[in-house]
Amino acid sequence: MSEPLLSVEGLCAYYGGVQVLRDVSLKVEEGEVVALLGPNGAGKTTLMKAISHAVRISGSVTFAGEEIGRRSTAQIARAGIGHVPEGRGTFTDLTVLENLQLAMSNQPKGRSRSAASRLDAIYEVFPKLGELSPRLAGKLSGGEQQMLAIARAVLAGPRLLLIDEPSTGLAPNLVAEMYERLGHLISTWEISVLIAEQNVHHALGIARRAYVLASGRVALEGTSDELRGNQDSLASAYLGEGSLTTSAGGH
Amino acid sequence: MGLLLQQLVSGIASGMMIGLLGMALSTVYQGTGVLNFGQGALATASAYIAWHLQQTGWPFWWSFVGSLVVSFALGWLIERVLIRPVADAPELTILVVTAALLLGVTAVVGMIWGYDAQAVSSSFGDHVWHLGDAVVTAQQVGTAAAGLVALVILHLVLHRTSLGLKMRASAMNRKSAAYLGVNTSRMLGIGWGLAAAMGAAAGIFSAPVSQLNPDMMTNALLMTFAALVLGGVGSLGGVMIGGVIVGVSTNLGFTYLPFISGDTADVVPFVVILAILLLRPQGLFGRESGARS
Repeated sequence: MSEPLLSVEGLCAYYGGVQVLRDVSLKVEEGEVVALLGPNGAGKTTLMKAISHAVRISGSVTFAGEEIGRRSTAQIARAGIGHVPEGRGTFTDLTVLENLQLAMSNQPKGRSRSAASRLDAIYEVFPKLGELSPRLAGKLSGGEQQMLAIARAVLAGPRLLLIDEPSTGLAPNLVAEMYERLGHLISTWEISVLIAEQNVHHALGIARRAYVLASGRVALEGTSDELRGNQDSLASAYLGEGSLTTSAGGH
Repeated sequence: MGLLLQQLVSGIASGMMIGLLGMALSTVYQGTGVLNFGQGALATASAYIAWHLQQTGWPFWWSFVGSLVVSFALGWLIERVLIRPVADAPELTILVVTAALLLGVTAVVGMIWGYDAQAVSSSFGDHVWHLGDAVVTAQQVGTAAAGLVALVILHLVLHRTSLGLKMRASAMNRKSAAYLGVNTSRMLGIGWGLAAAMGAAAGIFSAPVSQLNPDMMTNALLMTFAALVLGGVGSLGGVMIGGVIVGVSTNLGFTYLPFISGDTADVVPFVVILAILLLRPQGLFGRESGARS
Protein backbone atom coordinates (compact mmCIF):
# COMPACT_ATOMS: atom_id res chain seq x y z
CA MET A 1 0.00 0.00 0.00
CA SER A 2 1.50 3.36 -1.02
CA GLU A 3 2.11 5.96 1.67
CA PRO A 4 -0.39 8.80 2.00
CA LEU A 5 0.25 12.04 0.11
CA LEU A 6 -0.26 13.96 3.37
CA SER A 7 0.24 12.48 6.80
CA VAL A 8 -0.25 14.46 9.99
CA GLU A 9 0.81 12.79 13.25
CA GLY A 10 0.33 14.13 16.75
CA LEU A 11 0.01 17.71 15.53
CA CYS A 12 -0.38 20.45 18.12
CA ALA A 13 -0.76 24.13 17.27
CA TYR A 14 -0.41 27.26 19.34
CA TYR A 15 -1.42 30.92 19.20
CA GLY A 16 1.13 32.50 21.48
CA GLY A 17 0.97 30.47 24.66
CA VAL A 18 -2.48 29.04 23.98
CA GLN A 19 -2.69 25.50 22.62
CA VAL A 20 -5.44 25.27 20.02
CA LEU A 21 -4.88 21.88 18.41
CA ARG A 22 -4.28 18.79 20.50
CA ASP A 23 -2.61 15.70 19.10
CA VAL A 24 -4.35 15.72 15.70
CA SER A 25 -3.61 12.92 13.26
CA LEU A 26 -5.05 12.56 9.78
CA LYS A 27 -4.07 11.53 6.28
CA VAL A 28 -4.98 12.31 2.69
CA GLU A 29 -4.24 9.77 -0.02
CA GLU A 30 -3.16 10.72 -3.54
CA GLY A 31 -6.24 11.67 -5.59
CA GLU A 32 -8.50 11.78 -2.54
CA VAL A 33 -10.88 14.49 -1.35
CA VAL A 34 -11.11 14.60 2.44
CA ALA A 35 -13.38 16.89 4.41
CA LEU A 36 -12.63 18.51 7.73
CA LEU A 37 -15.86 19.18 9.59
CA GLY A 38 -16.74 20.74 12.90
CA PRO A 39 -18.42 23.71 14.52
CA ASN A 40 -17.01 27.22 14.84
CA GLY A 41 -13.90 27.24 16.97
CA ALA A 42 -13.22 23.53 16.54
CA GLY A 43 -9.79 24.22 15.05
CA LYS A 44 -10.40 23.57 11.34
CA THR A 45 -8.76 26.78 10.13
CA THR A 46 -5.95 26.35 12.63
CA LEU A 47 -5.30 22.84 11.32
CA MET A 48 -5.14 24.18 7.76
CA LYS A 49 -2.73 26.89 8.87
CA ALA A 50 -0.71 24.34 10.81
CA ILE A 51 -0.21 22.17 7.72
CA SER A 52 1.01 25.29 5.87
CA HIS A 53 3.12 26.20 8.92
CA ALA A 54 1.41 29.53 9.28
CA VAL A 55 1.13 28.97 13.05
CA ARG A 56 3.51 27.54 15.61
CA ILE A 57 3.29 23.75 15.69
CA SER A 58 4.74 20.63 17.19
CA GLY A 59 4.29 17.13 15.78
CA SER A 60 4.83 15.73 12.34
CA VAL A 61 3.59 16.81 8.92
CA THR A 62 4.75 14.60 6.06
CA PHE A 63 4.02 15.41 2.42
CA ALA A 64 4.97 13.12 -0.46
CA GLY A 65 7.27 11.24 1.87
CA GLU A 66 9.10 14.32 3.17
CA GLU A 67 8.82 15.92 6.59
CA ILE A 68 7.77 19.53 5.99
CA GLY A 69 6.86 20.66 9.50
CA ARG A 70 9.96 22.86 9.80
CA ARG A 71 9.71 24.51 6.41
CA SER A 72 8.36 28.00 5.82
CA THR A 73 4.88 28.62 4.41
CA ALA A 74 6.32 29.63 1.03
CA GLN A 75 8.55 26.54 0.90
CA ILE A 76 5.58 24.30 1.66
CA ALA A 77 3.62 25.98 -1.12
CA ARG A 78 6.48 25.43 -3.58
CA ALA A 79 6.67 21.80 -2.46
CA GLY A 80 3.13 21.33 -3.78
CA ILE A 81 0.58 22.28 -1.10
CA GLY A 82 -1.80 25.02 -2.20
CA HIS A 83 -3.92 26.92 0.29
CA VAL A 84 -7.19 28.76 -0.26
CA PRO A 85 -7.46 30.64 3.02
CA GLU A 86 -10.56 31.47 4.97
CA GLY A 87 -11.77 34.87 3.77
CA ARG A 88 -10.34 34.18 0.27
CA GLY A 89 -7.20 36.30 0.64
CA THR A 90 -7.34 37.82 -2.83
CA PHE A 91 -5.05 40.76 -3.55
CA THR A 92 -7.67 43.45 -3.75
CA ASP A 93 -5.53 46.07 -5.50
CA LEU A 94 -4.36 43.64 -8.17
CA THR A 95 -6.52 42.77 -11.15
CA VAL A 96 -8.03 39.31 -11.58
CA LEU A 97 -5.40 38.55 -14.22
CA GLU A 98 -2.57 39.74 -11.96
CA ASN A 99 -3.87 37.52 -9.14
CA LEU A 100 -3.76 34.56 -11.52
CA GLN A 101 -0.38 35.50 -13.00
CA LEU A 102 1.11 35.62 -9.54
CA ALA A 103 0.06 32.03 -8.97
CA MET A 104 1.77 30.94 -12.16
CA SER A 105 5.06 32.63 -11.25
CA ASN A 106 5.98 30.02 -8.62
CA GLN A 107 5.37 26.68 -10.24
CA PRO A 108 6.31 23.69 -8.08
CA LYS A 109 8.85 21.30 -9.59
CA GLY A 110 7.53 18.73 -12.01
CA ARG A 111 4.41 20.65 -13.09
CA SER A 112 5.34 22.03 -16.48
CA ARG A 113 2.08 22.71 -18.31
CA SER A 114 2.50 26.01 -20.14
CA ALA A 115 1.19 29.16 -18.49
CA ALA A 116 -1.11 30.07 -21.36
CA SER A 117 -2.69 26.62 -21.53
CA ARG A 118 -3.21 26.56 -17.76
CA LEU A 119 -4.88 29.95 -17.84
CA ASP A 120 -7.14 28.83 -20.69
CA ALA A 121 -8.04 25.69 -18.78
CA ILE A 122 -8.97 27.73 -15.70
CA TYR A 123 -11.11 30.09 -17.78
CA GLU A 124 -12.96 27.04 -19.13
CA VAL A 125 -13.95 26.08 -15.59
CA PHE A 126 -14.52 29.69 -14.45
CA PRO A 127 -15.50 31.62 -17.60
CA LYS A 128 -16.62 34.58 -15.47
CA LEU A 129 -12.98 35.14 -14.46
CA GLY A 130 -12.04 35.58 -18.09
CA GLU A 131 -14.64 38.33 -18.46
CA LEU A 132 -13.50 39.95 -15.22
CA SER A 133 -9.76 39.69 -15.85
CA PRO A 134 -9.04 43.45 -16.01
CA ARG A 135 -11.10 44.24 -12.91
CA LEU A 136 -9.54 44.82 -9.50
CA ALA A 137 -10.10 41.82 -7.26
CA GLY A 138 -11.43 44.09 -4.54
CA LYS A 139 -14.32 45.10 -6.80
CA LEU A 140 -15.57 41.51 -7.21
CA SER A 141 -18.52 40.03 -5.39
CA GLY A 142 -17.94 37.47 -2.63
CA GLY A 143 -18.71 34.58 -4.95
CA GLU A 144 -16.43 35.91 -7.66
CA GLN A 145 -13.61 36.40 -5.16
CA GLN A 146 -14.04 32.84 -3.96
CA MET A 147 -13.82 31.56 -7.54
CA LEU A 148 -10.69 33.66 -8.02
CA ALA A 149 -9.11 32.37 -4.82
CA ILE A 150 -9.70 28.75 -5.85
CA ALA A 151 -8.60 29.32 -9.44
CA ARG A 152 -5.46 31.07 -8.26
CA ALA A 153 -4.53 28.27 -5.89
CA VAL A 154 -5.08 25.63 -8.58
CA LEU A 155 -3.03 27.59 -11.12
CA ALA A 156 -0.04 27.39 -8.80
CA GLY A 157 0.02 23.68 -9.67
CA PRO A 158 -0.34 22.00 -6.28
CA ARG A 159 -0.60 18.26 -5.70
CA LEU A 160 -2.65 18.92 -2.57
CA LEU A 161 -5.08 21.78 -2.14
CA LEU A 162 -6.21 23.00 1.27
CA ILE A 163 -9.52 24.84 0.99
CA ASP A 164 -10.71 26.64 4.11
CA GLU A 165 -14.44 27.30 4.53
CA PRO A 166 -15.19 28.21 0.90
CA SER A 167 -18.94 28.59 1.41
CA THR A 168 -18.71 31.19 4.18
CA GLY A 169 -20.73 34.29 3.33
CA LEU A 170 -22.07 32.93 0.05
CA ALA A 171 -25.71 32.58 -0.94
CA PRO A 172 -26.94 28.96 -1.20
CA ASN A 173 -27.21 29.05 -5.00
CA LEU A 174 -23.62 30.32 -5.24
CA VAL A 175 -22.42 27.60 -2.87
CA ALA A 176 -23.99 24.93 -5.05
CA GLU A 177 -22.45 26.45 -8.19
CA MET A 178 -19.06 26.72 -6.53
CA TYR A 179 -19.08 23.09 -5.44
CA GLU A 180 -20.13 21.96 -8.90
CA ARG A 181 -17.17 23.81 -10.43
CA LEU A 182 -14.86 22.61 -7.69
CA GLY A 183 -15.79 19.01 -8.39
CA HIS A 184 -15.07 19.52 -12.09
CA LEU A 185 -11.76 21.19 -11.28
CA ILE A 186 -10.63 18.40 -8.99
CA SER A 187 -11.32 15.70 -11.54
CA THR A 188 -9.80 17.67 -14.44
CA TRP A 189 -6.65 18.80 -12.69
CA GLU A 190 -6.16 15.61 -10.62
CA ILE A 191 -5.63 17.38 -7.34
CA SER A 192 -5.97 15.90 -3.90
CA VAL A 193 -8.01 18.09 -1.57
CA LEU A 194 -8.45 18.68 2.14
CA ILE A 195 -11.50 20.90 2.54
CA ALA A 196 -12.65 22.50 5.79
CA GLU A 197 -16.38 23.16 5.89
CA GLN A 198 -19.24 23.86 8.23
CA ASN A 199 -21.67 22.95 5.43
CA VAL A 200 -21.78 19.21 6.06
CA HIS A 201 -24.08 18.43 3.15
CA HIS A 202 -21.81 19.90 0.47
CA ALA A 203 -18.60 18.72 2.10
CA LEU A 204 -19.74 15.10 2.31
CA GLY A 205 -21.08 15.38 -1.24
CA ILE A 206 -17.63 16.03 -2.60
CA ALA A 207 -15.42 14.14 -0.15
CA ARG A 208 -14.73 10.44 0.16
CA ARG A 209 -13.74 10.63 3.83
CA ALA A 210 -14.05 13.14 6.59
CA TYR A 211 -12.71 14.03 9.99
CA VAL A 212 -14.79 15.88 12.55
CA LEU A 213 -12.90 18.25 14.80
CA ALA A 214 -14.15 19.40 18.18
CA SER A 215 -12.23 21.49 20.69
CA GLY A 216 -9.00 21.05 18.79
CA ARG A 217 -9.14 17.25 18.58
CA VAL A 218 -10.35 14.70 16.04
CA ALA A 219 -13.65 13.56 17.53
CA LEU A 220 -14.92 11.39 14.70
CA GLU A 221 -13.70 10.04 11.39
CA GLY A 222 -15.04 7.85 8.64
CA THR A 223 -16.14 7.65 5.05
CA SER A 224 -18.80 10.07 3.86
CA ASP A 225 -21.36 7.25 3.70
CA GLU A 226 -20.54 6.16 7.24
CA LEU A 227 -20.90 9.70 8.56
CA ARG A 228 -24.15 10.30 6.69
CA GLY A 229 -25.48 7.05 8.09
CA ASN A 230 -24.47 7.89 11.64
CA GLN A 231 -26.15 11.23 12.27
CA ASP A 232 -26.18 10.73 16.06
CA SER A 233 -22.42 10.36 16.25
CA LEU A 234 -22.00 13.33 13.92
CA ALA A 235 -24.27 15.51 16.03
CA SER A 236 -22.51 14.45 19.22
CA ALA A 237 -19.16 15.29 17.73
CA TYR A 238 -20.42 18.75 16.70
CA LEU A 239 -21.78 19.32 20.18
CA GLY A 240 -18.49 18.23 21.72
CA GLU A 241 -20.03 15.30 23.44
CA GLY A 242 -18.12 12.04 23.78
CA SER A 243 -14.33 11.83 24.04
CA LEU A 244 -11.38 10.65 22.00
CA THR A 245 -11.51 9.65 18.39
CA THR A 246 -14.38 7.53 17.26
CA SER A 247 -14.83 5.93 13.90
CA ALA A 248 -18.26 6.59 12.38
CA GLY A 249 -18.23 3.06 11.06
CA GLY A 250 -17.95 1.72 14.55
CA HIS A 251 -14.40 0.32 14.10
CA MET B 1 7.10 86.66 -15.84
CA GLY B 2 10.74 85.73 -15.80
CA LEU B 3 10.71 85.48 -12.04
CA LEU B 4 7.61 83.29 -12.10
CA LEU B 5 9.22 80.95 -14.62
CA GLN B 6 12.40 80.90 -12.57
CA GLN B 7 10.56 79.92 -9.42
CA LEU B 8 8.51 77.32 -11.29
CA VAL B 9 11.61 75.67 -12.76
CA SER B 10 13.42 75.74 -9.43
CA GLY B 11 10.33 74.43 -7.62
CA ILE B 12 9.84 71.60 -10.11
CA ALA B 13 13.47 70.51 -9.77
CA SER B 14 13.43 70.54 -5.95
CA GLY B 15 9.95 69.02 -5.98
CA MET B 16 11.15 66.11 -8.10
CA MET B 17 13.74 65.26 -5.47
CA ILE B 18 11.12 65.51 -2.73
CA GLY B 19 8.96 63.22 -4.87
CA LEU B 20 11.84 60.78 -5.35
CA LEU B 21 12.40 60.55 -1.61
CA GLY B 22 8.63 60.27 -1.27
CA MET B 23 8.62 57.26 -3.59
CA ALA B 24 11.22 55.68 -1.35
CA LEU B 25 9.05 56.32 1.70
CA SER B 26 5.99 55.01 -0.12
CA THR B 27 7.77 51.80 -1.18
CA VAL B 28 8.74 51.04 2.42
CA TYR B 29 5.37 52.05 3.83
CA GLN B 30 3.37 49.96 1.39
CA GLY B 31 5.58 46.95 1.93
CA THR B 32 5.84 47.00 5.68
CA GLY B 33 3.44 49.59 7.04
CA VAL B 34 6.50 51.37 8.45
CA LEU B 35 6.92 55.12 8.10
CA ASN B 36 10.69 55.29 7.96
CA PHE B 37 11.88 58.42 9.75
CA GLY B 38 15.41 57.40 8.83
CA GLN B 39 14.81 57.57 5.04
CA GLY B 40 16.24 61.08 4.73
CA ALA B 41 19.31 60.24 6.81
CA LEU B 42 19.97 57.21 4.60
CA ALA B 43 19.70 59.42 1.51
CA THR B 44 22.20 61.81 3.06
CA ALA B 45 24.60 58.96 3.82
CA SER B 46 24.30 57.80 0.21
CA ALA B 47 25.13 61.30 -1.02
CA TYR B 48 28.24 61.30 1.17
CA ILE B 49 29.26 57.88 -0.16
CA ALA B 50 29.01 59.13 -3.75
CA TRP B 51 30.92 62.30 -2.85
CA HIS B 52 33.62 60.27 -1.10
CA LEU B 53 34.05 58.01 -4.11
CA GLN B 54 34.41 61.10 -6.30
CA GLN B 55 37.03 62.51 -3.93
CA THR B 56 39.05 59.31 -4.42
CA GLY B 57 39.01 59.87 -8.16
CA TRP B 58 35.95 58.00 -9.38
CA PRO B 59 34.03 59.73 -12.19
CA PHE B 60 30.65 61.10 -11.09
CA TRP B 61 28.44 58.48 -12.76
CA TRP B 62 30.52 55.57 -11.45
CA SER B 63 30.30 57.14 -8.00
CA PHE B 64 26.56 57.40 -8.50
CA VAL B 65 26.21 53.71 -9.43
CA GLY B 66 28.56 52.68 -6.64
CA SER B 67 26.52 54.59 -4.10
CA LEU B 68 23.29 53.08 -5.41
CA VAL B 69 24.67 49.56 -5.03
CA VAL B 70 25.94 50.21 -1.51
CA SER B 71 22.66 51.90 -0.58
CA PHE B 72 20.61 48.95 -1.86
CA ALA B 73 22.68 46.59 0.26
CA LEU B 74 22.34 48.89 3.27
CA GLY B 75 18.57 49.04 2.87
CA TRP B 76 18.36 45.27 2.67
CA LEU B 77 20.54 44.91 5.75
CA ILE B 78 18.55 47.44 7.77
CA GLU B 79 15.30 45.59 7.04
CA ARG B 80 16.87 42.29 8.00
CA VAL B 81 18.65 43.39 11.17
CA LEU B 82 16.60 46.28 12.55
CA ILE B 83 13.07 46.12 11.17
CA ARG B 84 12.26 42.42 10.85
CA PRO B 85 12.90 41.63 14.54
CA VAL B 86 10.30 44.25 15.51
CA ALA B 87 7.86 43.56 12.66
CA ASP B 88 5.17 42.31 15.06
CA ALA B 89 5.83 44.91 17.73
CA PRO B 90 3.45 47.86 18.34
CA GLU B 91 3.66 50.66 15.78
CA LEU B 92 5.22 53.03 18.31
CA THR B 93 8.12 50.62 18.79
CA ILE B 94 8.78 50.53 15.06
CA LEU B 95 8.57 54.33 14.87
CA VAL B 96 11.15 54.57 17.64
CA VAL B 97 13.44 52.18 15.76
CA THR B 98 13.27 54.32 12.61
CA ALA B 99 13.83 57.46 14.67
CA ALA B 100 16.90 55.75 16.14
CA LEU B 101 17.98 55.00 12.59
CA LEU B 102 17.67 58.70 11.75
CA LEU B 103 19.78 59.77 14.72
CA GLY B 104 22.28 56.94 14.37
CA VAL B 105 22.95 57.38 10.66
CA THR B 106 23.23 61.17 11.03
CA ALA B 107 25.71 60.72 13.86
CA VAL B 108 27.81 58.21 11.91
CA VAL B 109 27.87 60.49 8.86
CA GLY B 110 29.02 63.39 11.05
CA MET B 111 31.69 61.27 12.72
CA ILE B 112 33.11 60.06 9.42
CA TRP B 113 32.88 63.20 7.28
CA GLY B 114 32.44 66.02 9.78
CA TYR B 115 29.58 68.48 10.30
CA ASP B 116 30.78 71.28 8.05
CA ALA B 117 28.76 71.83 4.90
CA GLN B 118 30.56 70.80 1.72
CA ALA B 119 30.02 72.55 -1.59
CA VAL B 120 29.36 70.00 -4.32
CA SER B 121 29.60 70.81 -8.00
CA SER B 122 26.65 70.21 -10.30
CA SER B 123 26.09 66.62 -11.35
CA PHE B 124 25.13 67.80 -14.86
CA GLY B 125 27.70 70.48 -15.61
CA ASP B 126 27.45 74.29 -15.52
CA HIS B 127 25.50 75.03 -18.67
CA VAL B 128 22.60 77.49 -18.40
CA TRP B 129 19.69 78.34 -20.69
CA HIS B 130 17.91 81.65 -20.83
CA LEU B 131 14.12 81.52 -21.17
CA GLY B 132 13.19 85.19 -21.30
CA ASP B 133 14.35 86.59 -17.98
CA ALA B 134 14.56 83.17 -16.38
CA VAL B 135 17.82 81.25 -16.04
CA VAL B 136 17.50 77.48 -16.19
CA THR B 137 20.54 75.51 -15.11
CA ALA B 138 21.69 72.13 -16.29
CA GLN B 139 21.41 70.98 -12.68
CA GLN B 140 17.71 71.83 -12.60
CA VAL B 141 16.97 70.17 -15.93
CA GLY B 142 19.06 67.13 -15.07
CA THR B 143 17.46 66.76 -11.65
CA ALA B 144 13.96 66.93 -13.11
CA ALA B 145 14.90 64.40 -15.78
CA ALA B 146 16.46 62.10 -13.19
CA GLY B 147 13.25 62.16 -11.19
CA LEU B 148 11.22 61.23 -14.26
CA VAL B 149 13.61 58.44 -15.21
CA ALA B 150 13.45 57.02 -11.68
CA LEU B 151 9.66 57.14 -11.76
CA VAL B 152 9.52 55.30 -15.10
CA ILE B 153 12.04 52.66 -14.01
CA LEU B 154 10.25 52.00 -10.74
CA HIS B 155 6.88 51.83 -12.47
CA LEU B 156 8.21 49.34 -15.02
CA VAL B 157 9.79 47.18 -12.32
CA LEU B 158 6.67 47.12 -10.16
CA HIS B 159 4.07 46.79 -12.91
CA ARG B 160 5.80 44.95 -15.76
CA THR B 161 7.92 42.33 -14.05
CA SER B 162 7.21 39.16 -12.12
CA LEU B 163 9.40 40.50 -9.30
CA GLY B 164 7.30 43.64 -9.09
CA LEU B 165 4.09 41.62 -9.00
CA LYS B 166 5.43 39.55 -6.12
CA MET B 167 6.54 42.70 -4.29
CA ARG B 168 3.12 44.33 -4.65
CA ALA B 169 1.33 41.16 -3.59
CA SER B 170 3.60 40.71 -0.56
CA ALA B 171 2.90 44.29 0.46
CA MET B 172 -0.87 43.80 0.21
CA ASN B 173 -1.24 40.44 1.91
CA ARG B 174 1.90 38.72 3.13
CA LYS B 175 0.19 35.49 4.17
CA SER B 176 -1.66 35.01 0.89
CA ALA B 177 1.54 35.68 -1.02
CA ALA B 178 3.33 33.03 1.04
CA TYR B 179 0.52 30.54 0.33
CA LEU B 180 1.40 31.02 -3.34
CA GLY B 181 5.07 30.29 -2.72
CA VAL B 182 6.35 33.87 -2.66
CA ASN B 183 9.36 34.42 -0.41
CA THR B 184 7.89 37.49 1.26
CA SER B 185 10.94 38.10 3.45
CA ARG B 186 13.05 38.42 0.32
CA MET B 187 10.48 40.78 -1.22
CA LEU B 188 10.61 42.99 1.86
CA GLY B 189 14.38 43.13 1.72
CA ILE B 190 14.28 44.06 -1.95
CA GLY B 191 11.68 46.75 -1.19
CA TRP B 192 13.91 48.33 1.44
CA GLY B 193 16.91 48.06 -0.86
CA LEU B 194 15.05 49.73 -3.72
CA ALA B 195 13.83 52.48 -1.41
CA ALA B 196 17.36 53.13 -0.19
CA ALA B 197 18.60 53.31 -3.78
CA MET B 198 15.87 55.80 -4.69
CA GLY B 199 16.74 57.85 -1.64
CA ALA B 200 20.37 57.73 -2.70
CA ALA B 201 19.48 59.24 -6.06
CA ALA B 202 17.49 61.97 -4.33
CA GLY B 203 20.36 62.75 -1.98
CA ILE B 204 23.06 62.75 -4.67
CA PHE B 205 21.14 65.08 -6.99
CA SER B 206 20.09 67.38 -4.14
CA ALA B 207 23.63 67.85 -2.80
CA PRO B 208 24.75 70.50 -5.35
CA VAL B 209 21.74 72.65 -4.42
CA SER B 210 21.50 72.28 -0.64
CA GLN B 211 25.20 71.64 0.06
CA LEU B 212 26.33 68.39 1.54
CA ASN B 213 25.77 68.29 5.30
CA PRO B 214 24.62 65.55 7.72
CA ASP B 215 21.12 67.05 8.06
CA MET B 216 20.69 67.69 4.34
CA MET B 217 17.81 65.32 3.54
CA THR B 218 16.43 65.07 7.07
CA ASN B 219 15.27 68.67 6.77
CA ALA B 220 13.36 67.69 3.65
CA LEU B 221 11.64 64.76 5.35
CA LEU B 222 8.63 66.72 6.58
CA MET B 223 8.07 68.01 3.05
CA THR B 224 8.40 64.45 1.82
CA PHE B 225 5.71 63.18 4.20
CA ALA B 226 3.53 66.00 2.93
CA ALA B 227 4.14 64.98 -0.69
CA LEU B 228 3.28 61.39 0.18
CA VAL B 229 -0.02 62.34 1.76
CA LEU B 230 -0.86 64.84 -0.98
CA GLY B 231 -0.09 62.53 -3.87
CA GLY B 232 -1.65 59.49 -2.27
CA VAL B 233 0.18 56.50 -0.86
CA GLY B 234 0.24 53.77 -3.45
CA SER B 235 0.52 56.06 -6.45
CA LEU B 236 4.13 56.61 -7.51
CA GLY B 237 3.17 59.26 -10.04
CA GLY B 238 0.93 60.86 -7.43
CA VAL B 239 3.80 61.12 -4.95
CA MET B 240 6.00 62.72 -7.62
CA ILE B 241 3.28 65.22 -8.47
CA GLY B 242 2.79 65.82 -4.76
CA GLY B 243 6.49 66.57 -4.48
CA VAL B 244 6.34 69.04 -7.36
CA ILE B 245 3.34 70.80 -5.80
CA VAL B 246 5.25 71.07 -2.52
CA GLY B 247 8.36 72.41 -4.25
CA VAL B 248 6.55 74.89 -6.45
CA SER B 249 4.18 76.18 -3.75
CA THR B 250 7.08 76.73 -1.35
CA ASN B 251 8.98 78.77 -3.93
CA LEU B 252 5.96 80.76 -5.09
CA GLY B 253 4.81 81.42 -1.54
CA PHE B 254 8.21 82.74 -0.57
CA THR B 255 8.39 84.91 -3.69
CA TYR B 256 4.87 86.31 -3.93
CA LEU B 257 3.31 86.31 -0.47
CA PRO B 258 4.58 89.38 1.40
CA PHE B 259 3.92 87.92 4.85
CA ILE B 260 5.97 84.81 4.05
CA SER B 261 9.68 84.87 4.88
CA GLY B 262 12.42 82.26 4.58
CA ASP B 263 11.46 80.74 7.93
CA THR B 264 7.76 80.51 7.20
CA ALA B 265 7.87 79.53 3.51
CA ASP B 266 7.59 75.86 4.49
CA VAL B 267 4.08 76.51 5.82
CA VAL B 268 2.72 77.31 2.36
CA PRO B 269 2.66 73.78 0.95
CA PHE B 270 0.92 72.50 4.06
CA VAL B 271 -1.87 75.01 3.62
CA VAL B 272 -2.24 73.81 0.00
CA ILE B 273 -2.21 70.19 1.15
CA LEU B 274 -4.85 70.74 3.82
CA ALA B 275 -7.10 72.38 1.25
CA ILE B 276 -6.76 69.43 -1.14
CA LEU B 277 -7.21 66.80 1.56
CA LEU B 278 -10.45 68.41 2.66
CA LEU B 279 -11.78 67.59 -0.80
CA ARG B 280 -9.93 64.31 -1.38
CA PRO B 281 -8.86 62.70 1.93
CA GLN B 282 -7.10 59.87 0.07
CA GLY B 283 -4.84 62.37 -1.70
CA LEU B 284 -4.85 63.40 -5.34
CA PHE B 285 -4.19 59.93 -6.74
CA GLY B 286 -4.65 57.65 -3.76
CA ARG B 287 -7.24 54.92 -4.13
CA GLU B 288 -10.26 54.58 -1.93
CA SER B 289 -10.65 51.12 -0.43
CA GLY B 290 -11.14 48.61 -3.26
CA ALA B 291 -13.12 46.05 -1.30
CA ARG B 292 -16.84 45.72 -1.83
CA SER B 293 -18.90 45.82 1.33
